[in-house]
Amino acid sequence: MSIALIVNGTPYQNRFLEEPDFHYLYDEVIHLREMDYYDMSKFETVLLSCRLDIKLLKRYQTRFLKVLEAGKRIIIFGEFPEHAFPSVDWEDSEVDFSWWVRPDGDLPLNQEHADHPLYRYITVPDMKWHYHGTFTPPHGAKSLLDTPEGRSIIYIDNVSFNGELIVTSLDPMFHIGLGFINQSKPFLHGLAKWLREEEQQ
Amino acid sequence: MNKIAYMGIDIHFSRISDLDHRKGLLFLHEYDLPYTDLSVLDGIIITNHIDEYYLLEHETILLSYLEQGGVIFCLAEKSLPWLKQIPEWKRSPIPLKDRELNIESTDNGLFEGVRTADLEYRKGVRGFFSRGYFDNVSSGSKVLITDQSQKTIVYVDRESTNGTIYAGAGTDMYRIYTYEENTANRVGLQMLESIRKEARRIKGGRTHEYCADC
Repeated sequence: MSIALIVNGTPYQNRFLEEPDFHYLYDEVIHLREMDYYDMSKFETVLLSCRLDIKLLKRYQTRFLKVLEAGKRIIIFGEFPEHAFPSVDWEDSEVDFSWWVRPDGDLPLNQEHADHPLYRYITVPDMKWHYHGTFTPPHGAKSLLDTPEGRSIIYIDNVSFNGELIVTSLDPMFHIGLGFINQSKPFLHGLAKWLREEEQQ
Repeated sequence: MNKIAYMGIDIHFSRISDLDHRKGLLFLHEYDLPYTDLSVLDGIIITNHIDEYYLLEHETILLSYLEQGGVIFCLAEKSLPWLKQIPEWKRSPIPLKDRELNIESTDNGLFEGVRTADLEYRKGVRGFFSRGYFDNVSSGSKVLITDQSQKTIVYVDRESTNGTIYAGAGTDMYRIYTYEENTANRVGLQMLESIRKEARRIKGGRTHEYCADC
């Protein structure tokens, strides 16, 4: 399986790419500005890093849709406002980044679809650092983790396209690149192992 | 009064609010940089949300702006040499939980009356202000903030170009402290004021306060 990682050349993305521990996550790195030069049909999975230019995302929306219509997988990380991708319904939320330093603090999140294979590689605590927004999954999509208000911070959509769209408001590449919030590493390792395990099946 | 540009790629976290507009900021989409008249600005804040490869492809623009007396406040954790006058950012070996700040100097009012503890912590969490430092800042630079190993975190450089460079090693001190209920919430406005004072000094203009409705 070939995995492409789309980035935007930001300092934290550049430093994330310098992390050898995560090189196994992707086979090719593509700068979003250079999408025109790549044949995306050769990738089974395309990862859209968090913090990508919204105008460029919209410019290349049809290229990404073709990936999905070809039966491939796209994983979207981080904030995704302005319907930069059809079917993705982002809503801003207040960020609780300090819950873990408060006595008895918690970031309440409810596990959903615990039988999904991804849960063999990640746990709920792996996804609990903070989130900047939430999503309403399309009808038929499976949320893996919900806020108490019932909005999702990670869902899997196998119904809207021929392929699979995974959407999460978690932003691990950003935090790993910054070197801030190590909690994001187990989540990304779990996701990477799931992707790589799948290719061997 | 001239505007100050807040430059980055167009993401959720680089967009500015109505309040920012009223403070005299405008968002400069980085990809518009080659088509923008920078001479009408009092300064440019360079965020950490920048496409460094694009800046490298257009590296003469910012240098030319500085040589013409421009003011840049850089908040990027630089990893590429798109403005060689600012050294690349280096990750500190000091764990975030142990990292301490020292305000060595103030400049044009920047950091005046600000407690270091208020910069170090946000709601009890440490690590927002700085996770790294600059090595080899230009000689003649004035160091404003260091960590406990005397590494430079914020400095101002009036020597290496005809303009002025303020640089901070890695946090958006304009944005993140806005709603803090302590002395850190002064820093954003102090940044804008220091940029404006510097622009006036360089241009030799008269001193007057920014007017949001002008």
